[in-house]
Order: sequence, then C-alpha cells, then structure tokens
Amino acid sequence: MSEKKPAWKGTTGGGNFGQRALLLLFRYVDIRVGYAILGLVIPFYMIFNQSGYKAIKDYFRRIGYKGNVNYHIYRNHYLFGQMMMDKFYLFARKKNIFKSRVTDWDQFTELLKGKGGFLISGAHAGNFEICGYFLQQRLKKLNAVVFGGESAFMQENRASALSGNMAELIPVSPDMSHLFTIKSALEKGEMVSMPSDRLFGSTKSFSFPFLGSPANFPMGSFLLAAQLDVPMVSLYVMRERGMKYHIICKQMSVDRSQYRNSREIARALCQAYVEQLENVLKSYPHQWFNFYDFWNNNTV
Amino acid sequence: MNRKEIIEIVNKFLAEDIEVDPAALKEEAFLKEDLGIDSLDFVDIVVVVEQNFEFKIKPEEMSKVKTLSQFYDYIEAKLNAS
Repeated sequence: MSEKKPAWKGTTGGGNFGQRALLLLFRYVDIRVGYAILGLVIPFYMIFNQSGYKAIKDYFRRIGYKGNVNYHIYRNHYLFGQMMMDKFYLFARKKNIFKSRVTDWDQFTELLKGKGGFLISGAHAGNFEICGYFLQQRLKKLNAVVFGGESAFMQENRASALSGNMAELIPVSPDMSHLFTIKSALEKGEMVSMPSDRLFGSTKSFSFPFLGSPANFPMGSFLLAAQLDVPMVSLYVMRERGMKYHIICKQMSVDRSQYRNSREIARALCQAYVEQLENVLKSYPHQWFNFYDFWNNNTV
Repeated sequence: MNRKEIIEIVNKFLAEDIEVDPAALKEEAFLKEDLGIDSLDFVDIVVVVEQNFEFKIKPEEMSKVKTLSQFYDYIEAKLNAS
C-alpha cells in the first residue's frame, strides 16, 4: 500500500477556446474532415508536446516495441485525437453515428436488471467516457464520476449530452464529499462509473506489477466496492477501424468471503482490474492514453 | 451501550479494517495526522457505524471530529440522543 503525492494534477488538456471551436466546427462539418486535419497536426503535436511523446515512447518500450516507435506514437496520438473528436461530435450533433459490438455483455445486463447498485471502473485506455452515450437504457441511473479540474464548458456539454440517457455527473471535489454522493447513489441501486487508473483526491493506492513494472493504482473505487459490498465491473470502449467501437465488460469475480477486511477485498479487486487492463491493452496496444510518466511520477 | 463498549468496537474496527497500528489508538490521537485516516476511510467508518451503532453519520458532522476521543464522544452522544 502506498501513500504518495500524485503526479497527475487532475486537469485535462485542451483550452476553452479549442473546445468551443471544435464543437462549433462539428455542428457543420463532417467528422471525417476533422480526422483528415488531425492527421496533419499530429506530427507537430509529437514535436512540441515532448512530455506526452516521451511518456508514450516509454510505454511502447515497456510493452516490447523495439527500434523506431514513432509510427506507433503517431498512431497512439491519432487515435486519442480521433476519440476526442468522436466525443465532441456527439456533443455537437447529439446523435450516435458509431457502431458498436460488445463482449461479455450478459454479466452487465444481469447487473442492470438487478435491484442493487454497482460500480463500473474504467481507465484512460480507449474511450471510456463515451460509454455513457452507448448505454442507451432506462433501467438504472448512471452516475459518472468526473474530475472537477476539467473546464466548466466540458462539464456542461457532457452533462447536456448525457441528460437524456438517465445519466448524471459527480464531479470529484477536493473535500472528498463526492464519496458520500457515490455511496448514496450505490445505496439507491444506481450505477457509478469512474476511471480507476489515476491518483487524484485521496493519495492512497495499491501497487501492482503492470506491464512489467510496479505501478500505483488508486484505492478509491475498489475500496468503495468493498466497503459497500457492491459488484464491480470494468468497462473498456475501444476504437476499431471505421466508425466502430468494441465495448468489453469484465466482472471482477473475487470471492470476498476469503478476505479479512475491506482493504484486502479492495486489493483483490484492484489486482483483477490490473490484469484485465493488461489483457485489453494486449489487444489494443495503441489505445493507452496516460500522457505522463505513469510508472515513475505516479509514485513520486 | 456504554463508552467502554464503544471504544472496543471502534478500536477493533480501526485496527482490523483500516489497519491502523493498535499502539497508536490513544484518545488524544488525531484521526488524520496521527492515524492516517482520510476521507476514503471515512466511508468505511460510516458503513461500520451504521452497521454497529444503527445511526447514520452526516458528513458535515464528521468534519468537526478531529480526535479519537471526539469520535467516541460523537457516537456516545448520538446513541444517547436516540
């Protein structure tokens, strides 16, 4: 168990002006035009955003890519930009133009039909945030935990795009009051989704080998699932060729009765999550979007 | 339930579930600074208090509780009031 300062400050890239411009553009322009522009911009981004470039280069080295990895970094950055555009296109048009296929969806449907609440953990791999738009259902309210460091403009647009989909946002707040909002939502039998790979707010974390080296993962979501005794699934929304997404759902099957306390259960849940994340990245190696030194800075 | 029983339940929980060093469980200990309890642990505390003492903790009430002694007092007062 670790308790160290996080490297990620809880803010996401992209200024207000750029976000507004993108939203306006997609009201009138086809998304493919955006992809074409993106393809031209990426090399400059790789040159001028050195910290992100280095972080992703390090990631590719860790997963065994040798020699010149610039093509792979380009592809990673391009996919990230493409998914950002997909999100903004949904904000702008409020219409889902993407096709999706699902894996292991039965477990998710069962939880959806059940009375109890459950936690959905995601990662900055693929387009986790877009899952709120794909989950067209009227059975359970979805509460998406988002980092309060994002611009008000982004939060407003996300809330607006999700509003017709039984979804609401829970911003992470410095006083940690969001934990009680999450608790209350789960007790009411609702769904709560949150990314589980970045340390923010509470600095308590579990350390596990991840892609060959120890990395810290925040305790938050796992401890909540253990404390409140609710099921936990991990959900990955991965981009595929064409206008397609692959939604992968994995239940974290942990025999909770064999552990002494909620910490131990949380640790087992986290371990299952880390293993699942590794497996997803094996199939989609270009879709890892933590553009900072995840292994070292995470444990400063 | 008397104070001694409250102390026993709380200390057992803090040592076994939150994994606080039993030697650090002194009445004057500060929850955050001395015992390392943060907001995430408070969720655990809220759940355990609900299960063992059958009342709901309001987060704003807990923000006034700084030491272990104050926490025992808080539970005692709540139980006496019910």
